[in-house]
Amino acid sequence: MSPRKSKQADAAAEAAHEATTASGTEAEVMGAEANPETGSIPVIGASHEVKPGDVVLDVEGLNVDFFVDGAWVPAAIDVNYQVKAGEVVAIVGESGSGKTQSSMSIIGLLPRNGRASGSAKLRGRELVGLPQRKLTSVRGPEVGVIFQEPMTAMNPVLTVGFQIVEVLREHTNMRPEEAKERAIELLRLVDIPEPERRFNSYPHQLSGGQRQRAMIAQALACDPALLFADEPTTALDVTVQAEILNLIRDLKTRINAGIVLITHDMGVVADMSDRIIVMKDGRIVEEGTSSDIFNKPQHEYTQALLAAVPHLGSTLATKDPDRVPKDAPVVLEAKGLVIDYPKQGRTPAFRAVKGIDLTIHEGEIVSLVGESGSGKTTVGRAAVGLLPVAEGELSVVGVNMKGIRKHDLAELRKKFSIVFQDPGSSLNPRWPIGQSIAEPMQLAGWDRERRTARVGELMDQVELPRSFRNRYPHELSGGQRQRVGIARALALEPTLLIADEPTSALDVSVQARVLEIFTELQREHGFGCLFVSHDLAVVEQLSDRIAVMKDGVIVEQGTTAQIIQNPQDPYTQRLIAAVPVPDPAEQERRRAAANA
Amino acid sequence: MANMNAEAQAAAVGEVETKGLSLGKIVWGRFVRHKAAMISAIVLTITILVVLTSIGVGPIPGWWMWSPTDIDPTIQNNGRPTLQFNGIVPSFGEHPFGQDQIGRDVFARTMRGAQVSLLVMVLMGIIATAVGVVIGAFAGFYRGKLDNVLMRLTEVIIAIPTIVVTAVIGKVFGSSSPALFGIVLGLLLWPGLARLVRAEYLSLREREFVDAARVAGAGDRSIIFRHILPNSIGVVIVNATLLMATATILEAALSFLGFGIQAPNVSLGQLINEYQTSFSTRPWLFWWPGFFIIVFALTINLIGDGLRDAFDPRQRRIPKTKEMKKQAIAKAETEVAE
Repeated sequence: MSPRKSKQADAAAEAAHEATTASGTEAEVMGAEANPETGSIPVIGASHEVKPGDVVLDVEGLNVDFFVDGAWVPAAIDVNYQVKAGEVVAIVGESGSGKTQSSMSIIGLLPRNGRASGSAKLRGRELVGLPQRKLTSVRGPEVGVIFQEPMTAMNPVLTVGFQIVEVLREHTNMRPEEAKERAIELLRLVDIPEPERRFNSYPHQLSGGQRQRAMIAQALACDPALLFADEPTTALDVTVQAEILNLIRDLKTRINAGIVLITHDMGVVADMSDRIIVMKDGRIVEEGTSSDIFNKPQHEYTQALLAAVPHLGSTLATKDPDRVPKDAPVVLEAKGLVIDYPKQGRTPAFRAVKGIDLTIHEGEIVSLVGESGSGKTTVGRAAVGLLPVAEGELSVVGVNMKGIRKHDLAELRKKFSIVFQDPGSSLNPRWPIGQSIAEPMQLAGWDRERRTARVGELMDQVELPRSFRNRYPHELSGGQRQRVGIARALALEPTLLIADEPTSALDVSVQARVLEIFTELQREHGFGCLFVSHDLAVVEQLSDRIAVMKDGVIVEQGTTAQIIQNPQDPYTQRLIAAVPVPDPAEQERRRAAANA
Repeated sequence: MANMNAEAQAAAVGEVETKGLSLGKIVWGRFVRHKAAMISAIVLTITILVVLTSIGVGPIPGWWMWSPTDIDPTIQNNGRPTLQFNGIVPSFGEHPFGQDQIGRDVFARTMRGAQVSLLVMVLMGIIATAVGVVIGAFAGFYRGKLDNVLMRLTEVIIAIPTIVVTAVIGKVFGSSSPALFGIVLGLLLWPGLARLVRAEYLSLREREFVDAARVAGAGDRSIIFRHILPNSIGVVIVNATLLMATATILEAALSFLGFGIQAPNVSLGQLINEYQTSFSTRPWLFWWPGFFIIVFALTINLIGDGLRDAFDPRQRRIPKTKEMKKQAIAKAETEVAE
């Protein structure tokens, strides 16, 4: 788990804990205001009556510091902004820019070594410096939070319905039946199909998009006046992301709350926000309306941030269709490839890939695109021998993988390698990174001196300081960790490299840099590459050919230009249409077209 | 961006000479900085040295004037300890820990008892930990049939009452062999650790770094012991140290009940058992064995705590609010001074 995610999980856990332990006197007062005699579902937010345009949150001179190694290190410096009811304010910036911590400090969810000073007034009430006991009456009824990863932010052993009812019962004096009714109504509000049945589902029984909807329902339970959405769609597929963004946009007008959207994705920002705040190194560097920021960015950092966003179709002109000679040796060939996930306990065997044909030549980058559950990662894992081939043929570097013997596979593994999606979990957390990079060489029987020299060389190639070699993975940033992953994969000069969403966990600007390094290294070393990704804009930058996968089948395959400019399959067309474009006007036009 | 790269490269050029440290060296470096664990390690080392050298081991003579079986016919001052402090300067006298009712030197007897107890503890700790880790790791890593077989075996062992087995062993093999006693205890006490290790392996084997290792070409054994074991070392160490501390106390308890080490052999527990009748007249007869039991149990637990922290790279102490202020001021002052 990345440190950032765990921080959020902690915050969520703490919020839940606070919600269950303390009883807010204010909540009782508010509950009393609701009128139970009308027989309808009480309007909980009666005390939050706000007109559009009222200032909901007023942040002035907010500072956040963290105590690290004997000194206070600032995470946010002199942050000023206002949020009005019915308005979406986007805070954008890279990881570490202080965008999340400045927001979490407002609702008192800083880790123990953090402190906040300055002022943040929620409808006139000062929140900074408020004791935790009093904050519990603010979190929930007045401020809702949507976290990035609903799987970790929701309690896996409690039903979705229970978690929503808990919030309602904590802050109002609703009876259990009333709370249940209200919870089902909320689930309906966020467009969850069959809300009565889903009420009794556990988080893992819902799809990613449904989980995120359930968390939104939970955040909205008490009609908060302010909603923090911390990267609400980063963990989702593009088409699901589009749906969730639609939902949030729709809610903005219906619940009349101020929304603070914290994200690094400029496409999402363009789609959603009225005003934008750009943060860098804890300071606000630019602030303005959405169209101002996108059309006339003043600060160079904003410009760089916008430039780092991959645009669909922007690199097609530079593509050379003959970059890879036609007669280059084939490094991966699949014919009618079928892959099953074997039966595990009571879970029956599952056919993830249902007969695909795919060829990769040496020096070529072929991308496999699709949403989660399409089977694209499964293909990558089978190619490196982590999953067995059920039917059909799969030959890697000239060796047939079907029914391959252990010994042959071990020999073959010197010729291919894989870069995993999440560098945080694919590096052994108890090993210094130098040892992780050296692992394939050690297993190949290299002596210590040769290994040391090669590790230094590899770290130079991925532009990591050599002095980092004794650090542990958790001491590096996400981008640095993924560079370690790439360095390890290149250790033995493979002829085939599988890259499984190597940049999906990274910020845009970091992603841009990692992709650049990746492309350079590919040109230099000339390995064949299977690039698995869900992000069409990234795929377009890198690949020579693209294969689009859906439900275990390749629905379309062709050169990059063919797929991007002239998609034939309706699914491909839908995927391309769902990619957010960092341009508010274009997003508006698309929305209108979609609604028409 | 470009700026950052330049910086990174500059750093790379400046520190080319960073040596790759092994995991062991890094862990050692962190352990040395753990105050309580370091003090415990030093205390334990000194205690063990004294215990071994004072009366000697086997045929090798020690520096102490009495042996555990010598009888000094003159019982001084009713056998009271002659250890005295003038300020902080201790004077030992002839029998620093006192004498028992027939004039034997309590110091020498305690040392012999500590030797036997240490032997039992170390043997038992090593055997129980090794068996527990290996069985737990294989069961958790391979799952399926092997897991079933190993776990049923574990349950059988858990079901055997330790007291009964030790009592039988004592009757069958006589009471003369502390080594045998340690081995039997080791073979009886591994199941708890095996279960914990199995649970750790069940979750760790699904992690992506295991796949990464496999793709790099690592075999099963390498994955089990080099990749996953360091990640579950916290559980192993905490449990091993708890086991060893338990062993000291269990050995004392069993000997006290008459099932463990028996006279003429002495162990710390057996000493307490032997002298329990003189509780009101000569209490020092079991102050000292009791004191050594506490020293062993405490220091081993603290060392285990330090080791666990040293193996966990994420371990970072968040200081209290007051300390934060103090440290911040101190740091600011040193910066100004520079």
